[in-house]
Amino acid sequence: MAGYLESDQFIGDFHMERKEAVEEVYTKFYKEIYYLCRKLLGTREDAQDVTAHAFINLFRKCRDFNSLTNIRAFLYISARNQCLDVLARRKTAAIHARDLAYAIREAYDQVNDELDYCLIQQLEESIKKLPPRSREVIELLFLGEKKYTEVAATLNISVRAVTDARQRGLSILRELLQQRHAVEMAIFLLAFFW
Amino acid sequence: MEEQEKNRLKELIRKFQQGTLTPEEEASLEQWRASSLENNKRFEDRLLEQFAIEGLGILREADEAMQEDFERVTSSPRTIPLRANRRLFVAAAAVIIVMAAGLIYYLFRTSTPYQTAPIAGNSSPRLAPGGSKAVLVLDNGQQIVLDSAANGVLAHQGAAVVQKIAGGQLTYVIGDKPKVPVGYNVLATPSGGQYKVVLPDGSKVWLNDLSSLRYPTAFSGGQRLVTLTGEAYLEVAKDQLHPFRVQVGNTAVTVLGTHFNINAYPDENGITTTLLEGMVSVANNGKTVLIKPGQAAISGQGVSLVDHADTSAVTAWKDGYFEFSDADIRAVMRQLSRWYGIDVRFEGKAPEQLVSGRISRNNMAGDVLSFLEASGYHFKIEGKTITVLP
Repeated sequence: MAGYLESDQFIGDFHMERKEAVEEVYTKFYKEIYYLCRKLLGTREDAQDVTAHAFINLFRKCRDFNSLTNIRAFLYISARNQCLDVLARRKTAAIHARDLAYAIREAYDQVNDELDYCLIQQLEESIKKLPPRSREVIELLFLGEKKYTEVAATLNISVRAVTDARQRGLSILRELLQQRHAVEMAIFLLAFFW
Repeated sequence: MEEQEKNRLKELIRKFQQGTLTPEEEASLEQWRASSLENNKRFEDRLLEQFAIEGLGILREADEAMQEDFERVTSSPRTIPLRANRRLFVAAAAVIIVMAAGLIYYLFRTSTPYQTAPIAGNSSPRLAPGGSKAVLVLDNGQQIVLDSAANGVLAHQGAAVVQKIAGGQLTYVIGDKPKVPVGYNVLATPSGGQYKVVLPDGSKVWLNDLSSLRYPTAFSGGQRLVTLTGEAYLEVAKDQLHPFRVQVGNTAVTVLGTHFNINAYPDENGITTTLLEGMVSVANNGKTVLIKPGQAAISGQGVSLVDHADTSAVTAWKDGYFEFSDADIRAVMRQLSRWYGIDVRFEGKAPEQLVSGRISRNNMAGDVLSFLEASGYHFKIEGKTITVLP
């Protein structure tokens, strides 16, 4: 399937609402849209609803899109607007105005959200590539939110080994962050010299 | 000082992330950070860790949500409002389940009963025991009756090849088509049916009679999620990254890799999860308990813990036995009623006396009743109705 999404064939299929094309788009973008909604809305239920809505809206007008970039942009805009609606509705249901202001600011900080998502995704991949022992520790720490002592007891290793593995996980994240800063810097410089 | 300071720091960092620090707190956090390089690193580490925990958690959720909504969102581009839609979906699913149940009932009630030679000197009815019987419902709704299907490849479901192997067993083997969408299969047993399935992750599930298991044809999300009705014994393949979750009614049982039994028949008293190995958590109604090997949890309205469970009696069914240890006769009769498809009635009050013992499920119903009669119970048998006399 490599390249299918970039091909002319795909856009043709998408215009015809063909199953493969629709499913590919869904699988390709679901997680990042969900990530955005979840960050903005804070609850799984709302995030899931809004994400599904964004895709349903998209699939209702398959003919309007001529590239993957357009599709993705539409998903982001549509999800973001709906998130703001949900937040505004919640506000009337007594939530601090301050949260809303914060969320709105966040919502327009698109570059940031997208980069966050990439970062987390890379972190997940990097963890998967670690040797099994460190991987296990990091997964329990990061995914299970367990205490060091609990993790040590579960895996029958020393607390020291747990803290070492944690440092390892964090240094991966640090490195990824540095790469990201490099990217941001590049974008910045590019914009500057344009 | 150590513990106290740690907790204070945690609290400050939490507030920092929520943006709820008071100016004094902010100043004290700043001061603490600036006081040594090590402190500054600890602060950064904690923030990074929080970021990782939150982000990875969301990715997992996204995986699950993506699978849950896949069908609904991709297959019907023209569907309208979500909320109503969801309800409609549930209603449609309920209708399908009821129809499937009806079909299964019909299929099994009309199939020729299993024949065995009568046992001399026994006046009880020859109600036949159950066996390896089940129906597999594929993702497209197609149904395969497993007792009559030949061994071998039954279907291709998403990335998995479904095979029936000898001895009442199904296996899912994942091929190398990783990106195909995940579908769901349902394995359902009739009264007197029992079946074993090896799921795509290698976990083994023994399904007792009148039960059903719904599972994806490939586990691709953060969690391995299956839905159960009735009773099952599970040996979950170890995978720390992907917790295995069994949803039974409003109870969720979460495990990493372990052996346990779940009994959730609607006519039994609550949902009983009995653990043989490892550790599982049982959540219901906002309450969660962790159970250890040899313990059981009963959930219905909340969860309660049973300290000493008879694991051998609880799981005997999967090896083909009824095993009772100080069991109430009503509980015993419920098991027989499911396995032999008989109706059980009680005349007057049920006898108080308890049942202990072990007998093969391959026996005719009459033989099992004789076994109970030997322990002092009395029955009246009319066709498929057994009355327990006081």
